[in-house]
Amino acid sequence: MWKRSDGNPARLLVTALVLVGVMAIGVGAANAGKSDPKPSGPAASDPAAGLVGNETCATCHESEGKSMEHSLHGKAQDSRTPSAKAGGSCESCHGPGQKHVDSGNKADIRRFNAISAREANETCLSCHNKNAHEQWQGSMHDARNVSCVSCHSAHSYKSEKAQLKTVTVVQTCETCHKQEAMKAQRSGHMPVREGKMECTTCHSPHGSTNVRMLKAGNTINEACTTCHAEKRGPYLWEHAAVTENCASCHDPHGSNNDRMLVAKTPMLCQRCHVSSGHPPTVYDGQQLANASNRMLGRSCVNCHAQIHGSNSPAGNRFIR
Amino acid sequence: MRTRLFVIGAALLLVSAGARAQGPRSDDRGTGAPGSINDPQQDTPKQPASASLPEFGNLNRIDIGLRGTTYGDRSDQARFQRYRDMSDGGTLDAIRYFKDTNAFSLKLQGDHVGYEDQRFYGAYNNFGRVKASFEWLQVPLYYSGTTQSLYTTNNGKLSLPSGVQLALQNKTTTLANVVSTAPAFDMRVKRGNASANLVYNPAPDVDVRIMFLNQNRSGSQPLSGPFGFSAMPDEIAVPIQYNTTDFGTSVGYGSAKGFVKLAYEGSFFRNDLNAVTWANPLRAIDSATAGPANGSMSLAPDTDRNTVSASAGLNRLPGRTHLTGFLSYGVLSNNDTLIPWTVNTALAAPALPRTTADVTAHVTAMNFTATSRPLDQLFFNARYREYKYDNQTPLFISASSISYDYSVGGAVETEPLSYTRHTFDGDMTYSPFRHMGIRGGYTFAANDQPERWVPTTHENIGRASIDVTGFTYFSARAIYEYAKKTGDTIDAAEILAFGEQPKLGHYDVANRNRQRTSGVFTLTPFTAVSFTGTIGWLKDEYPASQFGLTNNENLTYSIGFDAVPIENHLTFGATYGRDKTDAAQGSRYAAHVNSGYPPTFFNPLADWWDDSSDLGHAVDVSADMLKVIPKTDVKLAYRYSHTDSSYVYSVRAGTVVPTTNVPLAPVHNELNRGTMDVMYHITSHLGAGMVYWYDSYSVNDFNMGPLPLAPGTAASPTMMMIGYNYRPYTANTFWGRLTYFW
Repeated sequence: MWKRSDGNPARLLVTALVLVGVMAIGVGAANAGKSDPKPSGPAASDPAAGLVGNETCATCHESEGKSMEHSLHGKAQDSRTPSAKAGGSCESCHGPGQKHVDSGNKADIRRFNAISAREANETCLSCHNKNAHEQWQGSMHDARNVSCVSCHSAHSYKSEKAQLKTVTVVQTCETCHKQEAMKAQRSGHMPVREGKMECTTCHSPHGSTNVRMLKAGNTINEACTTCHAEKRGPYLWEHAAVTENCASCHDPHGSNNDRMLVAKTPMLCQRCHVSSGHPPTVYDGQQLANASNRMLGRSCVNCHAQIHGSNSPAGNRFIR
Repeated sequence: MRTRLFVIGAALLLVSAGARAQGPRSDDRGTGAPGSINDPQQDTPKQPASASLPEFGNLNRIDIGLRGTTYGDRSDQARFQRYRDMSDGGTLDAIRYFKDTNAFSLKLQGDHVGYEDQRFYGAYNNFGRVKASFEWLQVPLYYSGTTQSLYTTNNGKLSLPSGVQLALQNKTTTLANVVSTAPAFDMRVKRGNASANLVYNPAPDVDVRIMFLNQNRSGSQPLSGPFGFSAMPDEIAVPIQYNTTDFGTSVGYGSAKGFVKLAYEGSFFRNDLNAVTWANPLRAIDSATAGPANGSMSLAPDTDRNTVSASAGLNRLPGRTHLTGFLSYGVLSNNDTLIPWTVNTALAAPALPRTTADVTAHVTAMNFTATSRPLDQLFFNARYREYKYDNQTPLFISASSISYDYSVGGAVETEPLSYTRHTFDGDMTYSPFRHMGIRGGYTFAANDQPERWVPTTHENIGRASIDVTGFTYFSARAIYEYAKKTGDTIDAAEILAFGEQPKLGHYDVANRNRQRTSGVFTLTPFTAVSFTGTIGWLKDEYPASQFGLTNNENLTYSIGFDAVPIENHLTFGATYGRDKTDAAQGSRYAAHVNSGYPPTFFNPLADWWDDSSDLGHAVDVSADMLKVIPKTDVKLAYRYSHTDSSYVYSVRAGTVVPTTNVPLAPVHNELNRGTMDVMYHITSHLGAGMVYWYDSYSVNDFNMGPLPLAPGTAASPTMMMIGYNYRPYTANTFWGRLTYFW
């Protein structure tokens, strides 16, 4: 299945999907003006419930009202959004506004930066409780009282996606995770600083079934091999440290060493291999001066090239 | 190529159609600025519209320009570009189109159009009905532009020029002579990812999702192939041609009361080349005693992974309790045809026990979580996680084998690895005040890995944390964790039978005591200014390990500030970070012997140690001035990263280790990057800009530097290298551009 040939089914399928996708978008855009629903204008007030409606809120909070119109929260066509609910988009989240209107006191309305993180999150989770957010309860960030509004803004977002308070995902994450962000500047790094990846390429900040809040799979290896499938195996000959955990040898956030290793070879390999012969040899400057093939270039992997595992009958030492 | 042209054309057509449909916007917005993410409590009274409009990330624009880069003498242009394409010439660097109505939104994006690192993205959202998106992303990996190789490549077979092998075999020429004539070539790998996602809502609470991802990698990368235990490794540029196709679908129902979801994911990895054959530079004719004329190595096999899963959650249970469950079952398989033992025709290879790999692993995973908040001040959290990797591959056993395509070796037998992990977590958080959480927690992890020296490990982890957030002027988070992992190692006699030291600890399963603490502190004395500090400390000790990694300690801290004197107009900030890791490992020198144990195998005077230290400094400074100077946006940034690593050996007094203990030079990497981006808004729709980047990279790597790895030099007479190494660079990039906004 999916075996490439001269006809390259995968590339044809990709082209077809792109074609269909663009056509669908174009058709959708062309048909948009035909039945544009009513704008999500000010919802009707309901004095009995203490609801005043969006128009009243926007009298004082004009910019917040405008920002809501441009966000997904303001799209009443989707019956799941705040703007489609009683009270409209404002009071669905901030609660009934009559008391606040009457008193002018900010303590008489729900403000997300004034309530506890869990209380704020319960508001958001009343809708955002499935798919990407289905593992939030009990996740690392939930356990540490991280509030949705720590990272996201319903009104003053700066990012192109996910309504973050910063322009990029990395800027959001590095507020707390400075060490990992700094490591991306090292010589051995993933293409994060080149803009090809971001923290959420690998991690799900909203929780996951995997360890370390990794987005894909159920182990570190399953996450890594979503992109590095050539290392996935399983192989005929397996290297235990590799099979169980890529992070035994690699630092995915960045490293001073080639191939993002946690230490240079041969020293890294000597942390598990002592035996006799070349594994317990002292590889010092003299060995380097003698151009030992256990030192130069890829060191141990000069010979043990299939270090992640081998499918060769002669691969018992990963040299074939 | 056809795909890229099609996508560019489609995107431009949609952009122009959208542009005709749009009237001009009157608001004049910048391109977004990094601001402080602290959101201090503040009133939001009515303000003049021009000052209160938020910065939306959806401004339409198209950015064209002209770019050129000058390099310092002998700069490594490949390393500067690494994951980018910085070729000189015209640029269509960014396209952003966003159409937003009350019924749908349409988003089209393009970056670096026409270059090796280009990206196209489109998304359509018919609110509450269907969402569709696609992306084409190219990620180049530029290894080197100065690599040299004598080999010519044809479909996985690397050949040397006729006569070279025989001349080297007969010693009528030297390796240094022939390698210096090798033609130079670019060594690159290109990754192209095509992805498409569809979410369809047949009903408000029902999601039907389809995901498709195709990843294609092609090019060449360095690989070494030896021809004997003491023979020289031979570095080649191995061709790669991978394709991974992932497909996933799920159906889910979710409401405020809970959710349920069923899903399938399939991943299919295909390698056009499952083996590589390369000519032996030193032998032209196969020999049963002097080596082969060619070597043959297997490459990554074709593999499949199919997984089905089910998940469900219940909300709004008494006590604000939530329950979540996840269960998955998958099969990984590799049934590639096995390559022959050897391509050396002079060797009598044994029969293959089977002709295909016949490798299969069954994977089961489950995850159950329960959270509860019976009182506003109390929060409970419990989780059980299990992962089982059951390798069902039949043993591959042979009474004899082949080593290096060079000689007949002894018996071999595979060892299919399986493992199971059970983890239980429990936490309780107490909030004496609204903005404080004090948490205590415990984790128990039991891992079974029957083929390892420590077949079972148990780990007990205790932790305590405090989180103080939501105050205007101050926030703090801190956590401390203590973990103790223990397990019974297999009998020492078994380890000795492997030829290994019984006191060697494999650090991923060895007994380990771990302490870890980290903290984040933010001080906001004024609304517009905040100071942030972070600190982290980790210490691992391996008390039962006399050899191998014995301890590892990391200390990292950072301090910085952000200032937003004028919201949306003036922001600046700076951060300094320091990261130090020290590790110690031990070993015992023992010369190779053909049978029994080497003389020093049991002699403590043969012990040696290696202390490694890795120290990194990072500085990040930025300033954005948007319309502070009328109609002008100025963005300045500087980034500095400096890391040194050292490896220092030591031996006992009276040592019998035959070493001169000449120190190794520290490994040094330093990156400087300064950027300046100035844009003058001629009108509300047109901006003219100039960008300047300064990049410099200095490196000193004792085994990846240019001197030891120069092909065919006196420094590396025992290896035929292609010259891929770490070299410095200095680059100055100039960029003039025009940006049209609408």
